[in-house]
Amino acid sequence: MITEIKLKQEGANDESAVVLGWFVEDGQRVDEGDVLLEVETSKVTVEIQAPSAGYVVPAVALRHEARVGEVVAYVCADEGELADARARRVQEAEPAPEADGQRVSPAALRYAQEHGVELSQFAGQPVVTLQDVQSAGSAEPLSRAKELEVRRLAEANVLNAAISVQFEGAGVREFAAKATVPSVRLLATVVHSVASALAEFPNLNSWFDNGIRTHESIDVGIAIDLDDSLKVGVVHEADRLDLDATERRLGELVSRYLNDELTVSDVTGGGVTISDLSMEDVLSFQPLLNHGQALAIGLGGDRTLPGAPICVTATFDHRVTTGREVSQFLNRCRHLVTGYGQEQT
Amino acid sequence: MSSVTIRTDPGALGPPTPERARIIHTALLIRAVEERLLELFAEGTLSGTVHTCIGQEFSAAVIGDRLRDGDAVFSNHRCHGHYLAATGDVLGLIAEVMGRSAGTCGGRGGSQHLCREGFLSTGILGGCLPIAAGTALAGKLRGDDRIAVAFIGDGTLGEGVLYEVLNIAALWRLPILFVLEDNGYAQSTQQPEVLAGDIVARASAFGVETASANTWQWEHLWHTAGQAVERVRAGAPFFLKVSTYRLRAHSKGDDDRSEEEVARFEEHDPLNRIVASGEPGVADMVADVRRVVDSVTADARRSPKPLPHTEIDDDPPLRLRAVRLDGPRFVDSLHEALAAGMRANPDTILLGEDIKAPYGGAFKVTRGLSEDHPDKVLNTPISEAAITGIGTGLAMCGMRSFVEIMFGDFMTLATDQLVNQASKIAFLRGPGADPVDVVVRTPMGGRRGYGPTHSQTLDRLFVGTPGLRVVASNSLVDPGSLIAALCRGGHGPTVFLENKLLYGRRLGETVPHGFTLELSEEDFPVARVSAGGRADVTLVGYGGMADYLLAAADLLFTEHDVLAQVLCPTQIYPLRWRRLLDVLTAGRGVVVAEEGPGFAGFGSELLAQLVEEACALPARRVLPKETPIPAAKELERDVFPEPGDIVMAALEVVGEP
Repeated sequence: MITEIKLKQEGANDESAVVLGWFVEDGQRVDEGDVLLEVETSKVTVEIQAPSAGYVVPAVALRHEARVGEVVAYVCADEGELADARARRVQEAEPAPEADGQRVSPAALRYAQEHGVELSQFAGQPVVTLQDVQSAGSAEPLSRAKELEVRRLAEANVLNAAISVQFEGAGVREFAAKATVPSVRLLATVVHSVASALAEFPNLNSWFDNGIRTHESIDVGIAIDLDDSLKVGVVHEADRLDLDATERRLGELVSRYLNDELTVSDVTGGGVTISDLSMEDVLSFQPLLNHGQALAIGLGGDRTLPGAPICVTATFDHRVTTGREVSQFLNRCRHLVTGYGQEQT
Repeated sequence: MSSVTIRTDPGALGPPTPERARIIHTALLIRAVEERLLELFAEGTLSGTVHTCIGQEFSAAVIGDRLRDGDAVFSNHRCHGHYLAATGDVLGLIAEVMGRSAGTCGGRGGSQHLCREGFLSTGILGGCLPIAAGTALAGKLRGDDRIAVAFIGDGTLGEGVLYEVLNIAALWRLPILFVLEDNGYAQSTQQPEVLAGDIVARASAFGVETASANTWQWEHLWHTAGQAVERVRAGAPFFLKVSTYRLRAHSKGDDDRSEEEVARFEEHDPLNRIVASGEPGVADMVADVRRVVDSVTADARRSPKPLPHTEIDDDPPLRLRAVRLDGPRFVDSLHEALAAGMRANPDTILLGEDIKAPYGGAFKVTRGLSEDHPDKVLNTPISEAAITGIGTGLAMCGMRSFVEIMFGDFMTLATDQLVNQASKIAFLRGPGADPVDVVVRTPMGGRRGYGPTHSQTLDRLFVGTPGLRVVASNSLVDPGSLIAALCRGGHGPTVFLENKLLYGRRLGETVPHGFTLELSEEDFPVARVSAGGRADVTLVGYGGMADYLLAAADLLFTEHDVLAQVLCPTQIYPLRWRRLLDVLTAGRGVVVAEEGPGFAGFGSELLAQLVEEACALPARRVLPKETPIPAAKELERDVFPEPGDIVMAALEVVGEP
């Protein structure tokens, strides 16, 4: 016969006790009343004795916190039962504690499996909910270093930064002056240059929303404010247009603006916005970032200064990119814009 | 023990001894001051009322003459004479009763509440007695020969705390002199109507030495008091009954005694007789005290009216820091911190019922400590009021006292000592005064099947009492760190709550997997448990409720994909929610769960403050049923909030089914 020894309630306030020490070996022969083990409640230390003579199988390890009613040992009447008792001990062993790491809610796990959402993108997040998985979309997970940077920036409330490149504008202005509307052509050279450069720096054609998300196409918005109200017209897929097509599209947007004929599609979807104050002889200014964009371009210029300089300023979301990358991007823009001037000379 | 026979030798005080002159001068001064106070009352210059001791002056004057510097005097609502005899501070008294800055408490205490080094009076009969006993105990523990004198009246014989203190004073041989001034009236009620038995026999029954004297034979009183003080200074309590008569009303306009009776006592009044007798020197003394009172009254009138003391409203932002708790069991941490506190500061005293080895307290917090510190861990009678007040008295003498009340339900018996006494002393002493570092530890909470009077959460009786701090420990904050802070001192009277379910628990074990614990930086921190700071809903609670909130947060995540953050303040009074507002309103709603009664409770206070801060989030309280707590497990379980109740409320406020 195998007798179970269960932990009894010792104090009125304890639901468990910790095993302090074993005084017997597994399989050892004991007499009735022999002390088998010692447990400690929050109040007292208690010795647990063998209720009858026999062979002991300890069921709990040293330092184990046993609950009241839990089996702490078996006493087998004869040696032949030892194997049986040991088998029971294995069955009753507690499940392994949950491994350290991320916790995904059951519903989130199901959704991720059904929709093929990669859970690795939530690395570093202590818990993942259904909403997390549903709204994850195609956001690029942040690297650990970037994540830390983002947190610091958000805490400091400094998410945006700006960088400018300034260059001689006489050449490109001369090129633009040959057009019917020179200011539109000047802007077109910048739009076309920005779109081309973005194709080379796809990371900048994105935005931050709980991770970095990339726009599917290069759509350049133009802030138009001709004494009516500020509207942003969009040159869709600007990287696929040549300069002439870009110029035509800009002319179209301006005329629709003036005739109040802008359509919804004309004003939606810009991944980057360019503001142009170069006609006002404002050399340099810092445009504000729009929601859902990581980059805003300010086009400034001053015809009264020697060389009629042009200044291109990029305001960018530091969570998405870095000053170094934006510098490279701006230099690429400068190269492209000044190229139009050189073509002419 | 019977009354001792007191040697009487009035001749030794006969004129022209300096003692006699001194005592008569003090008695004349007391009378002149109180007559002046009555005049000031009549002219409308005083705040409140005055209780004069006119007719009783020789009790104060004679006993005061027997005291030394360093002795402490405790008194009651009729305290002017005792104060003047003990301190000689005429301006402090008159200005105090007039409500002027020069008053001993700057006008905060008024006639009944005088507090300065070596003197305390309060307006609750018997309320000062345990504090006096604590002062006497401090002197005894430190081995000096200072004594405590507690003046009470025959009205105080109706208060139970007197007998608690007589018992302890006799048992511990405390150097305390009880002076019972028997004027035959409790306010307007004649003594035979409200008093049974013999007065001094009450004290003798405890084995306290007694003597009787009166103010008409004040020379005899002087001898008796001298011997009584000698006995006390040698290390034993003494009870001295002084028969006397109050010639004026209890307070103002409440005298129903017959004119004949009062007139008879006027005629026999010892001071009136001395003045009428033409005893050499007395006329000069009368003139002198009048001069003093006139000049001091003028000084008091010139003293500015006090300005309200404005607390600087200093709400530093909440700074949370991540913490890992895989410490010992709650009870072990508590025990270790007390042991460390006692080792670090030999002036740390533990008092309580059954706290010495081998029992070590009902929940074993103090186990073994009496073996290391036999004279600093004191087993007390079941006298909650007395031991709480003794803790206050020890703290007033600069010691650290930890009083253990075995069950929180018994705190009702200590309420006067906390609400009326301990919480007022620093206030009376004035801004910048040393805090009175008495800590009352007690377990509260149910779910143990202990029934209606051993399961309650009664902190609601204490929160909201200015001057009293209430700290509720929980499984998210190492209680050892809280006790260590209390051992360092500076926190004033503190009720320290320990939930019964916590003792056996391992700290932090209920924090759900994937959630992290953060604590704010104060001595009594706010704990937040969240999944990386995200929160759809905020669950708020304290003490033992923390673990139920955590269980609810776990359920909300696994079953409803709702992320909850759990917010648990450790200091539940004073508590300004404004400081926590940003954290508190991070989610779409707030749920507060309580183990104690909800009506006018912690949760209603939280929600009221949120409304005042214009927080428009939906909010719910999760409360126990409004019933006494039943013992049977099934019935009890039905009373208290369970995690499922918290989950339901959370889903309601976040607007999800």
